[in-house]
Amino acid sequence: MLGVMWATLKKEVREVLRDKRTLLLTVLVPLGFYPAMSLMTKDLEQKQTAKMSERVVNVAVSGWGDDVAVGSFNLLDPKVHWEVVELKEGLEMLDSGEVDVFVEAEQDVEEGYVQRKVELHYFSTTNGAMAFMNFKKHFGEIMAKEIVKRMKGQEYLLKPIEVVDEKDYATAREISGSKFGGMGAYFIVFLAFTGCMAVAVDTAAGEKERGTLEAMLVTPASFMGIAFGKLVFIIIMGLISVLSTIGGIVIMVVGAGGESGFSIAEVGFVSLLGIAVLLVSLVLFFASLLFAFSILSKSNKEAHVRSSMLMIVVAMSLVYCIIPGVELTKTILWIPVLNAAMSIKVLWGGGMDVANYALVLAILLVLSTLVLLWISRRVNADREKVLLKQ
Amino acid sequence: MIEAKQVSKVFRTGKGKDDVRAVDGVSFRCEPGRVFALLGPNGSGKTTLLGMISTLMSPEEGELRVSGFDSVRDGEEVRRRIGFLTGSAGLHEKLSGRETLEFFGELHGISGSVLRSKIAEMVEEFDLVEFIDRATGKLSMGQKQRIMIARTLIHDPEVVIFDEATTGLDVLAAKGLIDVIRACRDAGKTVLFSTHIMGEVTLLADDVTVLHKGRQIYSGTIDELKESQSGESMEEKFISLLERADALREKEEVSC
Repeated sequence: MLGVMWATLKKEVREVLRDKRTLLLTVLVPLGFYPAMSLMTKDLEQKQTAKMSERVVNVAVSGWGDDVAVGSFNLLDPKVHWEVVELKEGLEMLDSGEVDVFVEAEQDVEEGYVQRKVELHYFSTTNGAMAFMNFKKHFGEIMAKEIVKRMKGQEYLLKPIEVVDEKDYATAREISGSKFGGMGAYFIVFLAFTGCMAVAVDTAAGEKERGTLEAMLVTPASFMGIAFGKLVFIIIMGLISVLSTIGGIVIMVVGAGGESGFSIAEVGFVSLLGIAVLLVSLVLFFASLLFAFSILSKSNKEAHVRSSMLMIVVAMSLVYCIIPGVELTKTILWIPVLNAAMSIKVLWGGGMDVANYALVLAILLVLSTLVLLWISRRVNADREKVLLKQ
Repeated sequence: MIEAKQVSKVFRTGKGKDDVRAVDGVSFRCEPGRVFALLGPNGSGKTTLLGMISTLMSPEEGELRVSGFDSVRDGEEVRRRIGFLTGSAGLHEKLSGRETLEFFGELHGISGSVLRSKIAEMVEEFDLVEFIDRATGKLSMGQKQRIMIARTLIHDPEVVIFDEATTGLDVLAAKGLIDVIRACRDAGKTVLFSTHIMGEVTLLADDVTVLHKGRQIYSGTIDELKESQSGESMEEKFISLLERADALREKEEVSC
């Protein structure tokens, strides 16, 4: 059986090395994902900041009653231009796009220091929202100035507590874990799934559809030998996908030049080993499940549909990992895939309870074994129906 | 040698529909050094019968033996002795012809220098030298067919089965296959081929079994078939055979 397994594995590797699409999905996409995401978000952020700083926000004010005061607002921020207008004119200017925000102040104001009530008019669509945010910041400064003017020596009331120093006791590992643990776990697990899926669909359903599986089945090679050769191949591709994802993270970190806050050195050997063992078990689980889907499907298309549905379930359940503050609870310990992803997050940020870790590992291994036993029983019970395309 | 005794196969359709008796009590014997043709229209049960001989399927009733081995109990031994080429089989298109032969050789338990010399033999015998190292997906239909023939014969099987193997081939490629069938017969192998093309039967067959709607409606030598049936051409004889079988079946159903 080992000879058959080895021959099948060699054949699969040869085929995949010539299949550019699969290699792209299992190696290049995971490798480039993090650096590309990092570059894109950085670039977008920079562009947006530059755009915001260059933009002059035009504000029209009516009913303020003190044109000199409004004129002095212009001195606060050269990027916000204030103009006194009549109510009707202000609305028209807003409508035509001449101004970004129109401030309609309350007409009848009592004497002395009283609260000014204003209505703000703007368009949240187009650039109005961004301009409005700039205006609000500027308006806040005006309000603060007004408050200080009215405090008459009691400005300390504005700051009832003053923080003189801040001390963060979280370790670099904990900070790295909280920043990257969830996202890292999400993408490593998800890309491990897609890595397995990219090859699993074709290894059984594709061969069945093309009639090559039938040619293999009329040789003396045992089906179990062929199946295990294929399963090992799917696992290898899933692990390559995981390694590529980790490689992508490393490229991102190196590219960020220490500014990312990501610290793999802080995680420690034992936790990294724990994560690695967990990932191997997870890939084994994915590979078993996807191979089962593939072998039970009559065509490539059917296998794709089934696997894609599973992919949606995996992706949706993994979203839980990236929600800030979520923890590995007793319930989550029993949910396959999510338990592994959450364990990776926990292991990244700090130590994990050994009993919980063993439970997660056992669940994945038991489930993988059950899937393989189930598929083996299905094949033995109705070999013709499962393995033949007609 | 292949021996079939009262072989039947029923496909359970379920869902309240009637079961399909794809092969019904078929018996025959294929001798080494002779070409045995399995003839029948589409849906007559030829592919199912060949599927059972090659151990892809199991017979519901009866017994099938290949070189003395039972197709159910000794499946592995049967597969060791047969080469099976079907028109619907494909190739691993990313592999070259050489890699295909290597892979199938290994599945048959051949390896190392023995496998390399077997491949060299195949390359020479089927004139594969020009394209043996090219990806099979890039080959012409005829070239693919030659690789598939080499794949079928890489382990030098005692029994060779061709299931409508000329389907989709041009005249030259079909002739090439016919030459291979003759060569196998001359080498003393048991050759079984299924077809619905009468010309191929006339050219190749020593013995013939005709299947129609799962039943065996004729079994004998090709000369006996020519003599016993009315009609000028082989096609006419074949059609008259089918019509008689249909009439007989109708009578049976009425009497039931």
